[in-house]
Amino acid sequence: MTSTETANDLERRALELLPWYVNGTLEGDERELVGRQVLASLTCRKELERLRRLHQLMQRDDAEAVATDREFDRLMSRIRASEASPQSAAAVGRRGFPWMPYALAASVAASVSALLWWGTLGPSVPHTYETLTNPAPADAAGVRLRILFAAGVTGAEQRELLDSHGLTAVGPPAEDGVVTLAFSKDADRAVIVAALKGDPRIQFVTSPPGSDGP
Amino acid sequence: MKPTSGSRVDSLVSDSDAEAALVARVVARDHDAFAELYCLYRRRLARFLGRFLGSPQVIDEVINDVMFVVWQDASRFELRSKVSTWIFGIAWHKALKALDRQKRDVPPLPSPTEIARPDDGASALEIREWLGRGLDGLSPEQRLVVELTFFAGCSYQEIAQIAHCPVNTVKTRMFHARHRLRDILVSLDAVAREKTP
Repeated sequence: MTSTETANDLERRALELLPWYVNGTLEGDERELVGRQVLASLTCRKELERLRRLHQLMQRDDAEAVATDREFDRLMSRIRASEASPQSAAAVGRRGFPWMPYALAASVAASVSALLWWGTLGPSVPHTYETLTNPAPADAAGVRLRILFAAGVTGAEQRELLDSHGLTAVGPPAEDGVVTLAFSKDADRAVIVAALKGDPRIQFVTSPPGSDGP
Repeated sequence: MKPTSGSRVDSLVSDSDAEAALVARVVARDHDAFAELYCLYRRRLARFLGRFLGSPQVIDEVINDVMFVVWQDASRFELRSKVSTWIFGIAWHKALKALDRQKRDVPPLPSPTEIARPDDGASALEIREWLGRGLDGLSPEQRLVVELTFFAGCSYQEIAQIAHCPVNTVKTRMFHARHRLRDILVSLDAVAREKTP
């Protein structure tokens, strides 16, 4: 407020600030100014009363009950999918996220762990595997699925899980820990994929590009 | 961790420090912290976005988009603003995009002055619906200022941050919104007085 402001100027300023006087966010000199004008001006008092009623009516709670769990699960699936995507990882890296070195270290650790697990598998399989960044080799018939195990799942648990669904690893895990799998003959792929998606030991499930998988 | 109905969900004015601490944990990729933040904002965002976007499916989609950005960009959050200001800013940006997509399908809204005042015997619900129709006649930018002021309890400085505009623009938008709502506000004075103890 300045000494040259007329009574009309002060009233106009107070009227302008009234909405934030009503919601309680006005502070200091501005709050004092409006308080004084409300006492001095009938126009300000009338407008204050109207805005208070508007405030009361708009404070109502009209939110519908929402399926929070379902929506949150959907969001987390999206986040996991984005984090498992190499394009997304590159984009994140470009933004310079501070946790990227830790994430990369964890990824390398996961790959090493998965490679160790790979070495403990039974009969060897032909090296017809693919990576996330290379197209599927021509002889990759039967490849239908890629998964990423959740952190902390041991090699024994991984083997047990794959065996229970009749899944066979087609090659060693990719650099980011993603494992490419083949279904057993006559497997109900939709049922298996649904089961994997609901399994907390699996972080990410998808079909390789170009496959006719689920 | 699954989101649950927390006691703080209904609070419009949240604990800024606690929320900032949650965001710091989200930066460290703490899923539990993210679930807690989601719980805190899910309902508030639904209420806020519901004022602009009619379809519950669209609202769900936009909330999903908003919280996805929160997860991805948590490290960009600066403590110069409140967490709520940051998240509502993202929500407003996403809501504008959704509104653009909806534009072609939405019939022109009536001017607030064309909306008849409810009868003297109107219920509180009818009065709120009447007010809602009046607010529907505001431009999205004007309505944002009105909603953030009277619904979310934001200061005009916070609104300027959310809307990415100068504080004087916020005041101007509020001025024009009040001008457009003038007839409703005058009637509200009489109608609401009958209904408010």
